[in-house]
Amino acid sequence: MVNEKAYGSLIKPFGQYTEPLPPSKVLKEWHSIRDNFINEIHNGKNDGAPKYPEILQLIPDELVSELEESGRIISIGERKKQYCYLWVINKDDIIEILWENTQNEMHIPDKLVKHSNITAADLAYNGGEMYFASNNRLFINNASDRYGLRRNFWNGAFEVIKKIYSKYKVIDIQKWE
Amino acid sequence: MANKHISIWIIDDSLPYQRFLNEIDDTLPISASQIGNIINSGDGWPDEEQPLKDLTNLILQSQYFINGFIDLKWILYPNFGINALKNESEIYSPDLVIYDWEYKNYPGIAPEATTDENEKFIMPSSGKSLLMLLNQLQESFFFIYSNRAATIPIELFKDKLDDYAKQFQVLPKGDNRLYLSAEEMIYNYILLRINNQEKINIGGKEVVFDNSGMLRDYTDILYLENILGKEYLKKKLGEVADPFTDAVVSEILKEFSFQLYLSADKKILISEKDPFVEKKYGPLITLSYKEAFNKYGLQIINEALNNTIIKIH
Repeated sequence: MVNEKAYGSLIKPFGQYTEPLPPSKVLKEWHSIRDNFINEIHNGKNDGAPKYPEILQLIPDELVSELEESGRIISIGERKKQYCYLWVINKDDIIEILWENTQNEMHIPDKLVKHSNITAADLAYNGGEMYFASNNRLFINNASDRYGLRRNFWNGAFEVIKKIYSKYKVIDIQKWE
Repeated sequence: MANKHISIWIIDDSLPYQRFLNEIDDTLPISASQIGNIINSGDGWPDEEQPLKDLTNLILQSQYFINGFIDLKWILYPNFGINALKNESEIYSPDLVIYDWEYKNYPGIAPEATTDENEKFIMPSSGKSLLMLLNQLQESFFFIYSNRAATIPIELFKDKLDDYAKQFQVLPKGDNRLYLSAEEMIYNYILLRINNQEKINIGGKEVVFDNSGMLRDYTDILYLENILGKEYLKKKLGEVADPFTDAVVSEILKEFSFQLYLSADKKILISEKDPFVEKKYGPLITLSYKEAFNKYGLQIINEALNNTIIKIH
């Protein structure tokens, strides 16, 4: 495939799906806007933790076992956005990160940001979630229905993140089966 | 249920009040009767402001306004609103502020941009005034109602605006991208503040909300649109008889072909199953959207679609 690398192939949002998608997964205009989040989107190169919000949101230790066991946080509902950062490897091979709790004022009534707000709904190689924890731990999964959940590219993507975040202990929490 | 009173401010410079200059102090809140006189004068409104004129008319002609449940004031510039709040002889406390973003001439403030004391950020004057009003009116809800909503430079002051995220919603004037227009949303918000059990008219269809049911207010229509898609919802609304109720939503969802899944202990709702999820939470119980709607409502279905797996109570 053209533009295929170990960490992904370039796809449009939801491009990995072949079966019909429910209408809720039709790309919305307010999930395609990047300009409103220019200052919040973080370029992940050089081992940098996101600068927005100003204080890095560490996942509490009592939720870490849930992350390790399930690969995601569901026990606290929508409040998990407080600790979740969305990551994307964009078409220029750069990891960009956006705090999931960033408010999307254009989205009625949910005010959610999505991975496609990082890319302006453009092509990207891969995507998922990351959770920073105490003792320099960084938990990574492939949970992005726009760009992620592709098992054949997961190891490559994980290696890229591990290399970039070399000062962290990067932990793979993606569950496939 | 007893109706509640609502006080509304429209902050916008598009009111064509020039003919009434002798009767109106344009630096003070303009009364509803004066707004009515200006609208009835037939003086021209710019084309792009027609939706605001129609919304204002709708409010003024409603039974709730006529019966005294709505207090409406028009303020031409945000700083006049800030000044009005300092007024000691009359206490203003709007429940809802319909706040325009763009101003052609902004009295007393540089027209394009102003810099805060630390020069950390630059924002349009209306942005700075908006933050002041949000801070002073923390019990009020704001619709930031703009011709250029998609290009509001929110990024310039996002970190400050986010402190008030639950207090406002950005809406483009005359916006029809959603099944509900921006004006219908504002009007419905007003009606629902007055009386929770309300019939409203959406796109020519009478919709009955029931606070104790699953179709509680206009946001449920937006959740339904997200679940079904605008075109499908539009088609189905055209097919069903008035009024549009819980029972009708249930019937529409009965024909919807996608499915949700419930964990074996019925505590987790899942919108997409995969081998890990099946192993961890299974055996999964397949749930139709109709069943999910009747059990949990539209907001929960929407949340499951957004998050793939959610805990339910």
